[in-house]
Amino acid sequence: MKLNASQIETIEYYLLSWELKYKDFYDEILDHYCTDIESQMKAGLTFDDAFDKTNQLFSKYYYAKFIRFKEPLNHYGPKAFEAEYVDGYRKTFKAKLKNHFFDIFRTYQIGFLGALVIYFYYFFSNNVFLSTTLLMAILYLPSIIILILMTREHSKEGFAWSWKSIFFTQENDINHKRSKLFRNVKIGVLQEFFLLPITLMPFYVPLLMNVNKFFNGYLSSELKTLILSLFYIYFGIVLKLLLESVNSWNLLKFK
Amino acid sequence: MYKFMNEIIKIMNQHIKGSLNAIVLKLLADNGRMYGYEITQKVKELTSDEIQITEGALYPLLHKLEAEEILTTKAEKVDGRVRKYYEITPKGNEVAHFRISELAAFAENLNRILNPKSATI
Repeated sequence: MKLNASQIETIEYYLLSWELKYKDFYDEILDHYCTDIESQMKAGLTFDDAFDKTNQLFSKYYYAKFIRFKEPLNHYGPKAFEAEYVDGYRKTFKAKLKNHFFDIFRTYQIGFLGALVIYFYYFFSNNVFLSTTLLMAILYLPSIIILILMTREHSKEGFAWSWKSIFFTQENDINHKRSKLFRNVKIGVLQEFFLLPITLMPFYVPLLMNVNKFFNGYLSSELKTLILSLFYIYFGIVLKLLLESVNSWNLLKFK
Repeated sequence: MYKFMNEIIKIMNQHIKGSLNAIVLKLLADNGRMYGYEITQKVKELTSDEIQITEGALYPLLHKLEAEEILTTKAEKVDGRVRKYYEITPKGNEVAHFRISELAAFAENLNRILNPKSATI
């Protein structure tokens, strides 16, 4: 027995009321609800009874996220599933960052890094404005393009993403809530790793230059070179992970 | 006797929880690709409702395996909604093989302890 449109909407309203954030998880749980309810209705239950029964499977679940020096964040119901999912990716990516970091010193990349360190050292000992701009152009612009690509929402027509959908729809509108879901947990978590350092970049790069001028002679060029190199390595790895995810992303493959 | 059986099922369920990832990997290895609901139903069907994989145990496990890149997912449109299929990755194949054989060895050892006669034949 197939669910009708209004029944599916009831389920969607319920699920979206849990303030889910990610579309891929939302799709998965919605499909589970629909399939489960359909099979129960086939066995003779009414929609309401079946819905209640399925709810019980998910609403009891509990997940606590422990944060250092803070009260743990408690999640219940479907949101708990999502929170645990997101945390799993966080752990994986942290481990990957660590692995990739040590990999750099084991592979040919060490040569590239060496060249970069020389470049940074040159930059710090000469205070060249041009080199900062170049650095920003290399790192900043592609990152912004990737960030915009990542937040795009898929629709039947392919990709559609507009500011209109963010600003000019009513809060209670189910379509609006649905369109606010972020596409993918994996990409979302990677964005977390990426977003803060990237958005702060226009601020801290000039700051770095000023600090460089100000502390000329105080903080050694070697130390500054080391700090910037570590920054660069971090970005490089996150960017690599991002590109890997975008590759494995099945773009437009809904049939 | 009935009480005793209940105890055994309880203990079994505890062990199942511990070896759930091997069970899920075995199912996926046999069936190719499956979605979450299908896995819960399949386990219930295979064990004639005695072993219950709850959603609270299954989805976190699937998500964990996905994050570890043992499983990969593909979204497909079925009946107007998006269905997420899980599949073992080439990298996950080795892990799956190892965990399944670990579980088999465990079951075999348990059997040997519980039925010393049948094992010696």
